[in-house]
Amino acid sequence: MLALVTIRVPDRLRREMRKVKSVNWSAVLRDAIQARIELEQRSTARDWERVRAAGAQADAIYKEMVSKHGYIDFDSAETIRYWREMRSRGMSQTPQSR
Amino acid sequence: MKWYVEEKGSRPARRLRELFQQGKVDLDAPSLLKYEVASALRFHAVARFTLRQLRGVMESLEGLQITREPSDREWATAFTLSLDNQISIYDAAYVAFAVHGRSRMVTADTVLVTRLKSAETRQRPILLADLDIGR
Repeated sequence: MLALVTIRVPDRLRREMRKVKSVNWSAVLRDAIQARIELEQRSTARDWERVRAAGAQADAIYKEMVSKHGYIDFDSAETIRYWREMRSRGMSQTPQSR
Repeated sequence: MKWYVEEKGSRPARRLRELFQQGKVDLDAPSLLKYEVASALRFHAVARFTLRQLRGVMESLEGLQITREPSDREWATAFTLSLDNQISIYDAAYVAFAVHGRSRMVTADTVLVTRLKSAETRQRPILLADLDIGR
């Protein structure tokens, strides 16, 4: 069962939508609405006091590491990239033992 | 990673977390993030974390409540993106969250950004260095 929802868009946008005939605009809007609902639900479900405590905990660790190492001339994104490449091994198929 | 050590990109990364804590932006990532952060911290080239600190990192990541398992539709999107862009599932899982949520994928990984070529991914990635979030 599908409910009917009406939305208003500017004339210019309507003309642009008509030009793209291959797109199912109802499906696009359904997906957008669903994604927004999920986002709102996540936000509402969060325990914000716990979030703030976790932030303070992260800050404390950060300060400890700064006092120990200072600024580190390094980019951890490269470490993560390295491990992802190692795990996916150049996108080849997993070798079989027999 | 950049929330726990001062390195390239730490400032905008920390600012982003601050905005999240203030409820001004939403952060959403696959659970894989926790494993990748744990591994990268454990094998960091310079920083040496104590066991207490490593446990604290995981505790704080859990407490921030920004990670979750992908939905069925996000898995489907991840597989499609992996095939269309020739990227690993590890990469595609993050991109699928952004595509599905119509949001931006903030990353410091320039390699991944250059590999994203399919239409639905074009608007999604933004490099941490290009993030204009003030301070």
